[in-house]
Amino acid sequence: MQEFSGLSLQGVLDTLGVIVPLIAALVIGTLIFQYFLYKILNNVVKTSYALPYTLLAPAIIAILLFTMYPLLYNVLLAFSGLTSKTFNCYSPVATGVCKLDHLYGFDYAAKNFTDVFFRVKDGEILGWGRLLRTADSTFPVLLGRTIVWTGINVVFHFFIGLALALIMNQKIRFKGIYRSFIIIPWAIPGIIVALTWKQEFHAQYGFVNNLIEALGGQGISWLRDPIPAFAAVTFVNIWLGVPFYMVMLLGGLQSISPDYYEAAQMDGANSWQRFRAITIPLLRPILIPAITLDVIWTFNKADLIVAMTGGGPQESTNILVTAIYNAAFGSAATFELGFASAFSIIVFFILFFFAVIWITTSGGLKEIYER
Amino acid sequence: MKYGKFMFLMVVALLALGVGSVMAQDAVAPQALVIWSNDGDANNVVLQEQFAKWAEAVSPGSTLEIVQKETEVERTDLQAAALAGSGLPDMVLGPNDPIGVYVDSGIVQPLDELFDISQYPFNIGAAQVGGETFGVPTNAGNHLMLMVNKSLVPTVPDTWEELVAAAKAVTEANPEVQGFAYNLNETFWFLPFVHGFGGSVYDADGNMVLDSQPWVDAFQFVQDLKFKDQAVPEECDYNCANDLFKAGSVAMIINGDWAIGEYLDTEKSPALGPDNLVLAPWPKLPNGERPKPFTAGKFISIPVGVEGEKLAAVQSFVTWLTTDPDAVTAYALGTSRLPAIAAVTVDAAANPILAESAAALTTGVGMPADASLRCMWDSVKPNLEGVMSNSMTPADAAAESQIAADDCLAG
Amino acid sequence: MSVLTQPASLPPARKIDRGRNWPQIRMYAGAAVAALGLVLTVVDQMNIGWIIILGWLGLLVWKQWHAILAFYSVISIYPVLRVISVSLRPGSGLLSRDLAIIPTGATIESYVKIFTEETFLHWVWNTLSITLAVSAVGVVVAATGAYAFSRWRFPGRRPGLIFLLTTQMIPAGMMIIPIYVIVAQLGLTDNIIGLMLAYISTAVPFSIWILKGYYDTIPPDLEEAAMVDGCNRMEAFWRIILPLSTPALSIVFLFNFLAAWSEFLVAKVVLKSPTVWTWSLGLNDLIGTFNTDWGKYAAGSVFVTIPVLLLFTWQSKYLISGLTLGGVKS
Repeated sequence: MQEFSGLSLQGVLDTLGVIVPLIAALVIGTLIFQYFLYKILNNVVKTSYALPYTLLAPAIIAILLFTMYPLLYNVLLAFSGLTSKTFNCYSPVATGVCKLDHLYGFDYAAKNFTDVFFRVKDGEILGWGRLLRTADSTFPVLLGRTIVWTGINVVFHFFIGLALALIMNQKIRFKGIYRSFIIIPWAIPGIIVALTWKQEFHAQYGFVNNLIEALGGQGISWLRDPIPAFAAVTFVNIWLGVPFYMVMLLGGLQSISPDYYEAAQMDGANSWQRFRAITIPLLRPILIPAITLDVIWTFNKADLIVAMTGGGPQESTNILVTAIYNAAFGSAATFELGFASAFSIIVFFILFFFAVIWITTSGGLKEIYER
Repeated sequence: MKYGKFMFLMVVALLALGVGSVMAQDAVAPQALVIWSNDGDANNVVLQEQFAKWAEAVSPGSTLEIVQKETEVERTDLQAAALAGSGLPDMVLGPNDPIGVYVDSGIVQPLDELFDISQYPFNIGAAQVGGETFGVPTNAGNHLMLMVNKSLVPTVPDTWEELVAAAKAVTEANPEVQGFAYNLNETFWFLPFVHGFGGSVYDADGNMVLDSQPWVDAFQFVQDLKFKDQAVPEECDYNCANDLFKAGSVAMIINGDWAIGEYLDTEKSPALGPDNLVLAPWPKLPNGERPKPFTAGKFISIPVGVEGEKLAAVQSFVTWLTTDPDAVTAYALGTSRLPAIAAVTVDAAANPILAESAAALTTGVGMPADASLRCMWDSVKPNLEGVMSNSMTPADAAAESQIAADDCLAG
Repeated sequence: MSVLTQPASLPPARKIDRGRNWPQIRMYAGAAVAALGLVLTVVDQMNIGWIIILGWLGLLVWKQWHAILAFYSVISIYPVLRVISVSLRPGSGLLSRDLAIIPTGATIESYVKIFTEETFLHWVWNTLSITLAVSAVGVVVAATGAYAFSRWRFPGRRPGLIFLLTTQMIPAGMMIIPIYVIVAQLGLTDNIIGLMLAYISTAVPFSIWILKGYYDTIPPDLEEAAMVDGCNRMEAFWRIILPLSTPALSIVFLFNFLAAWSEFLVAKVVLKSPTVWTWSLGLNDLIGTFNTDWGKYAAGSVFVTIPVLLLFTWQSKYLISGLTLGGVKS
């Protein structure tokens, strides 16, 4: 069989042979399941919401299976005493005498969760605990950096995105071309973005310094020093996030009826007043969910930082989620999964509470769930 | 065991290459074996070829799947697979330092009963924990050494002073070419300097001591090398040094024996090849000592759960690969690395590069398989980064490394 | 400040004629600035930095909005051009300080190599088949789920929507070990089915949000009218809502496609053997510890980015209208 670049006709057919029956089985299975679910809900449970529950069931089951099960597994690990030294107690295959008298318990959880915050010796709190190896890798420092990171990113995403959307919303030529160019960062696969920018911030061979030097400036060791490194990853994440806002806001702006502006103009409102009184309030239902999602995504943005700097230099570009990654899998990791899981659960709940407070105080999501 | 001290008696003699066949072994039922390897592509090809020879003679029909994994990934994946209880390979090929972790976790088998460990006198200590052996060496080495592109630097520098001067001369002759580069911020590349200044990781009582004078001296030395002598680039990691060296854009680097094969291949390294590559021990420090790299080798460990006929096949293959003189010679020449058994020595005249590598190896110190070593690697790294960005003094870096290591050791 | 409130559809505010022709004056001033740049370039040893900077300033004077958009477009596109540039460099010049987009000695060697020396096409095919299946199934699952959220106020609706949001809050790092263990225990290692199910479930929450937002903008009267005509609820959904939701459905398809096409972390955990690798694993391997071939990597990157870019451009008309997280009151 003819083969090119590792792919032959047979290979293509083989993959199709796996995927097509799979999809078919998935679809048919889901439909049968939905049919019976509907019958049960309608005839046995006798709820008037049988149809919406049936429609939602596949989505909810998929999400529960692949996000809730891992989440619960993490909770289980956080209640375990799993370290590399007690590993054989938890692994079904590892050999050696298990030194633990029980595998899961609140005593382990207490230790795991305390270790995230404090350094404890003989029941005495000696200070903030180190999550990684440097003195700065304590919980409050990482939390503070995460908030700064999220704040800077969201603010820049918003203002640059809004500015571009406002300009693009005018009668202007080449709009389509500009739009295609500006959304490009969004369309490039994330891993390529991270590794490309890592190269481009290289002190000697990256275009950033070459450009600065060509314009007569002094190059900066971007990824060698803590503050430039943080600036570099922040810049890249801003660059990545602007297109999403621009597109969202442009969509919002275009759906505002011109009548509002004409009426306001009649009343003698200047353009700033019209912007304040019409544009912002009408964009609000779009802005609040967009900002909410952006805050969550930015807070959780581990892949870019891990690929660009690995959290270095001197662990200075770590935010909470990259610290979890490095504590569990980085070179600093000693497979203390009980601790790493406790850490990730705390981070999850911090974000959860931030989000809930933001959603309730801004009230912006009412538009979505009360419609 | 803290230090598996082993000395290399590199008897440089002519090797009698007999037209031998695979030594007589009992036939083994065909098996589909899986090995995880942290070796490069070219070396894995050699491994596959060797396996084919073994299979042909001893176990026709056996196959070997080589799964390439970076060192850290290999370790995490092995632990994750053991936690899940499935997906473990039949062999793991890697450096010796994760072996301590594997032993702590109870996921590799003791090998004293399966192999005649007296066959590997040089470096078997690097795979022993608590008096038991958990890895079989496929080679001796894994040592860092000075690598020079002869076309750019004709005389190999013997002291750091000479190296700095030679590096400057290179850049003066051609501003586009750097004199010297290495993986600046990695502890493995830094530790030899500590050894050179008379320090070590553990004190006489076996405690980890990182804030001693030799550590401060070593931090001071690498900082001066960068900021006073300006002998290294602003920013350089492994890939940077490696890529530049292969392309002829840097004249001298520090790298390990795993890279030699690639540097000898002119297709991958257009600027190097056998004509231009020279290997040498590290240059001498001002105190007259050479920095001493950690040495061990690459070891094959056998995860738990490999048993019965599969274990017999693994045992037969690994025994053959590491002790059959022809197999050891073929593997050593194919990977450009040094054999780990006394019975096989390298023909210096026919393989000058291997002889140079052997000479560099004798300047090293043995690396233990102790799990606590991880705490040292990880604790030093961020402080080394601080020293190399001139934002930390050597004394602070040493003191901070100690604090971080203590914190790590306490768990 | 007209930019703040000047939608395209609004007739331009009448300008008070002050007896001067501002657009023309600005055009000449801009041209003068650009000409100065040209002169300085020639004087300063053909340093094209001058013409670029002053040329742009000239544009800023003449048409400020075009200048800003052009500037931002360059910021967006330049790194991409750099990747293309690296892919065209000859083998020896990969680490180079050259700023030119078309490097000296440009060659397509890397493009040939990625296909001949690597099983690149195989990786792309693996990814494509997974991605298309995930996107299609994901859209179907989300489309019906979102309809439920949009049209019924059932008990558990509000917690359900918040729950969807919550799934976005789980740190990716904490999923790796559990997914590894699940995949190994279910025997799904190297199996694309496990990967597809994981992708579908991670893509669904955001998809439901977008689709629900869009359905909300469609008046329920339309379905009610259809139901009066004898359709049942699902027929009305199929015949009325889905066709009207093309923009949002395209966007959801696009997002699912992009997410599955470029996913790396989970794929790395699930797919161990090179024969089932997706391109992100394959390309990552090209610049890993074992081998650093930036040329091949860049060539591969260009290839895998093209389909996404085409999809984005093709659907960009829907991008603006289909991405509705919350409807604007109209």
